[in-house]
Amino acid sequence: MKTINFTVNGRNYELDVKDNEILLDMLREKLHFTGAKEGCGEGECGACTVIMDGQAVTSCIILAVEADGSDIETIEGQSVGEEISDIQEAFIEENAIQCGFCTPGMVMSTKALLDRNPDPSDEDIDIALSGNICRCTGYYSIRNAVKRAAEKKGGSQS
Amino acid sequence: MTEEMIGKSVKRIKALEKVTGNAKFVHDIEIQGMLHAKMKLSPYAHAKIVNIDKTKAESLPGVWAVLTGKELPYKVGLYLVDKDILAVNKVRYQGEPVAAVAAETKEIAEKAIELIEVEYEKLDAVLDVQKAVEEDAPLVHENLAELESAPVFFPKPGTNIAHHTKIRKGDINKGFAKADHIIENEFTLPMVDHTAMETHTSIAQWKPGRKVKIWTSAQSPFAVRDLLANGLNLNHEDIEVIVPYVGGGFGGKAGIHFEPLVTCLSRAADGRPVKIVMSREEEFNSVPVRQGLYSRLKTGVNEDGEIVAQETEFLWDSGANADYGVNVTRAAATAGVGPYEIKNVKLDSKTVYTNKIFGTAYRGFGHLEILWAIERQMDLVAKEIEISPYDIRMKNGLEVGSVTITGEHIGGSHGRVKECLREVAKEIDFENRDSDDLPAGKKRGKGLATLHKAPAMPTNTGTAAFLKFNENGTINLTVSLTDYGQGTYTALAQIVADQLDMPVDKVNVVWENNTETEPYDWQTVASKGLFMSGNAVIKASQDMVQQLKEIASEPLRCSVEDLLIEDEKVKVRHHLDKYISFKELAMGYTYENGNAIGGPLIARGNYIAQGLTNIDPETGQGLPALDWTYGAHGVEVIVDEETGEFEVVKIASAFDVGKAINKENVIGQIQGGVIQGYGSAVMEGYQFSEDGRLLTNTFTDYKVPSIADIPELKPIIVENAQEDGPYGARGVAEHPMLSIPSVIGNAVQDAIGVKIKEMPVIPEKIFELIESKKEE
Amino acid sequence: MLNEFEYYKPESLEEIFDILENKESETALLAGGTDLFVDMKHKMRKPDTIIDIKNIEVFSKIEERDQELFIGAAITCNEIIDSELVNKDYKILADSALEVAAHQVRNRATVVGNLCTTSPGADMFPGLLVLKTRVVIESKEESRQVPLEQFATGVKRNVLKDNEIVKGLLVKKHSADGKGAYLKKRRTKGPDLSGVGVAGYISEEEEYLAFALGAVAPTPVYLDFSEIFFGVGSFTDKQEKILEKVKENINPIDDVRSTKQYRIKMSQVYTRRILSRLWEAGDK
Repeated sequence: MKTINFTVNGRNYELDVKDNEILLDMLREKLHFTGAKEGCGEGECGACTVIMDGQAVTSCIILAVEADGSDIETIEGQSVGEEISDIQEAFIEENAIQCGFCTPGMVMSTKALLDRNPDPSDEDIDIALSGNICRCTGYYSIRNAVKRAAEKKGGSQS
Repeated sequence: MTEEMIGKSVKRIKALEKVTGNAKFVHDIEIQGMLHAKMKLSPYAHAKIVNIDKTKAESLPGVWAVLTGKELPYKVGLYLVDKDILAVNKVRYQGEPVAAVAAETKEIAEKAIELIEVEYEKLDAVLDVQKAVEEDAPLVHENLAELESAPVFFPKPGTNIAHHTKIRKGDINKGFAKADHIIENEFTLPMVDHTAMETHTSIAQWKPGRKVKIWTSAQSPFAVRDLLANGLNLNHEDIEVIVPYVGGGFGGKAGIHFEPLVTCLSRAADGRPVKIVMSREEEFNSVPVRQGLYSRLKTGVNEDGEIVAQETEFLWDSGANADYGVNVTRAAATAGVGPYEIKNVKLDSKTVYTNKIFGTAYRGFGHLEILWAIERQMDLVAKEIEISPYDIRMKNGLEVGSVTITGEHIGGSHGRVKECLREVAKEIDFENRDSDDLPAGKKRGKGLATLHKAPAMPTNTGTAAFLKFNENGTINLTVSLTDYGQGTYTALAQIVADQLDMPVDKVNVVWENNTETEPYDWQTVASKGLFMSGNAVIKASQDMVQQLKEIASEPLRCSVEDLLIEDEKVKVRHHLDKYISFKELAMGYTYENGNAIGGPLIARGNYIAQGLTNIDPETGQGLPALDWTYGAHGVEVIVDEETGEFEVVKIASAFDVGKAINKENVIGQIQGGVIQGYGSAVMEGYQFSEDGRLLTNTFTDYKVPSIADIPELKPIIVENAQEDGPYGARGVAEHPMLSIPSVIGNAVQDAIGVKIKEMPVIPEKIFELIESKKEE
Repeated sequence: MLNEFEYYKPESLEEIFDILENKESETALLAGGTDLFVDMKHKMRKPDTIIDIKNIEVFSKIEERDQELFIGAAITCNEIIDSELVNKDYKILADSALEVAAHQVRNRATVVGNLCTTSPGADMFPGLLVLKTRVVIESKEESRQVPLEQFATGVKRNVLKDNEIVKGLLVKKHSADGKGAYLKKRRTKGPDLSGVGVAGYISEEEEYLAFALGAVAPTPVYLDFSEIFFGVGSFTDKQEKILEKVKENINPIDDVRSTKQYRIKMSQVYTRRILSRLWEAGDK
């Protein structure tokens, strides 16, 4: 057991975790942030993507103890009350959601991308999102959603 | 209402819940006191279970139940009831569950599984369909004679053949005798996984009185209930099946899967709820797949391109169970020459057992597989007789007046496959395909392929819908058809909104499915959802309209015939300023003096497949198809002549959907389906070791398309209305992925002349063909 | 599910060595964990001690020292991709790093970790090999530097002893005219393990030409063609010789990613394509 301190969506946490506990399990089972999903458990599908200290990571292959001292953002932090983010709005507007299981991971990968690159090219989008598998949409609408979100944020107009 | 509701791209229902991470899938659900299940899997493809010692596992603290096949004397299945819940006496594939544990934590369950000792005696395994049908092949199911099946299937005891569908039309011998050319080819394709992003997950809670409550990631709550009742000998009314958000299905969550296992575990664990979640590795190893297929096609064709005879053999690699596989074999056979009219046909389609993970429904239900053979053969024939791939398809394509291989007459209400073909050929500029503008060593190719499919389902498939008003005049629609991404609920809401002339956001489609409270639906499969539930919803809406008018006619002092529905109101036809709003009628109309009439409004509608018949066991003649959706793809590729590497430059895909209720969601289905087909075409496929061990059981080894893979895609919607479809609509959920492998194979053949007959179409195989062509 | 283990996150190298010395059983070093945890989930590794090295300052350094680039053991693939230093004079490393897994994984996966897993197809090997790289290995007792071509000893095996740790890499800085390229055979344009990976590097000034190939033998193959290429003879003859040597020095297998025959073919095709690309780029 180790005691770790971290934030999730800006909220402070102090928690006892087992040494072999996985970050995704801690988020889902202990803190009930179930937006991040386990699609493969080995970093190949991106459904568990959260942002850790500004970077998109696959939380299924990170230890909970490794999150000590870090700031974590999850899908639950992307909307405040009835207000959803530009990215979330863009996903709805572009019909970039079908079953919805990959969606939280997609949104988090998109957020990490737009945070560091407000005006991404198709290639930038492919690089940032090719670790997020979607079996429903064929990705066209997702790519459009990322572009639309960039526009909303003012990236493309700059 | 001034706005046209049908055809409008209304935003998807529940998008907000999904995009905020608020949507709860079974993966996310915890029930108080819940235990976690884990399975012990067979390491062998075929072996006798000599002994299972579970004593160590049972004595591990935190373990509530340990089960083996011996304690579960049940068979489960939809069409051919051949599935064990846990292997009994022998294992039939690597990955087959032989024991299962329910424990307080996942860690304990995993430890307990490691403590179960299983002693096996290896048996000869049969992994290849052609070997499996040989007389001395090892038998996968020795007791085939004792298995129950639906009356339209005919297992052959003493063999590995679980079912044989025969189609006979015309006189095959005469047909070949007349043909100018006879061309014969063999085609193969491997098993493929659905890889829905949410793996199979179920929770069961056993209750006193032999009752059970189930939460499951399934496509069809009523099929789960029915098959569970039949399999475990329970009463239907004692089973409650709840389906919340489902993370993708693609056929893989049709029928029944791990619900019986968790039910038995919960029963054995004194009624503690038990949850099972497939790991991705288990999903690959132990959850059914799309069947493999060996095809042999012999085509008799005349100089002018008319196909006069086709003899077809399909051997389906159904793996260790044929529960669902038999119906894939049957359904695909009824579509077995593609959307063409061929006068003389002999077709034999056999479901064959092998010692591999077993087959089930997968988006397209056998049609992608047969169309790989049919549409590749079409181009091989065209090449042989030197006719354009476009012309040969136009020459033989179904049109009004054609007769299909099961004897169905194509009429004006059918879709138009030739129109789809014309559209895609135009879109990719099929006639112009030289490589003059390309660097040396690169060759351009263009390909075409058509497709068709009708829902595959029992002749008496039915569905129903409820409508009820809320106090504020909004309305709830309840169906047990499930929406796990197709967008059907959005289209159904549009139908209600149109019928009742109310804003679509006032139609609330009840999301979570529950067999206790919802009306029946057979299954969410086969692209029948919008067609059948759409019709049921229209009927329910009309029922509601009638009730609204009947109540309103009293205070409005006129006959029902003088009333119309407009803008959430019942209005007097001749005095539109005289009306009563839905809100005033929803819970019963109240007069000024307090008198009330009517009552809370509920309405119902149902629909049952019309006029379908079983097919004749000897000739295949009959009417198995509710409605045919036709389509076509055109593809442009650029191939590297030296390495066989290729780039798909563009795909154009056209479907005759009858009427697009929601254009944006139709396009969503096309885009998603085409890319799923693209995966099958160029990268996916199960690979096994020589002793039947699955080699591709992770996303590292089994690749599916990523966002970086998608070629340019032009979706084309063709609308020739289906008379009996809701607003003329047909289903189009499965069709986009059909014939994608064929059209890519055709384009590669066009580019460099290689005759690809194996899927997936990968550079390695193209390279081999280039090399062998050089040797010739 | 991961087996149980004791997790340490030491602040100094000395502490790491102390833990390594005092443990008899299996100890794993953790940087990104993107290979380690996947192996552990598949029960291929069951360490009872895990040492997280991300707190050691020197491991997070990427800096030029004399005529060499030092890449610390905790430097991630994305840090390499984003590093100006790398993109200026060691571009092939950024190109190679971009081939490692997916973006999210590259935010954790380290260059040194990629080498230490020592998969035959590890994407960071070929580029580092052609640039000439030494692996800086330390233990309590000694510090040694091993040329990268001697580091791998077999499939998932390398020269590291139980009490040793890789501190970082020293990559040779080549003359300004040097250029390299990495080509990889993959099944998808998305993340995929290498089916064949070929890196080539040329500097006319140094009269240096080398190729390195991954996923075509139990360990990555390094081939120095300087003598052949900068000796006498026509370009065509030299190219022929090089391709012949490539074929002689590889020994690929059939697996789910590719076939032996195709790997041989693609090793030669990529070598030839890189060679002509690098040579033509020099206006020859």
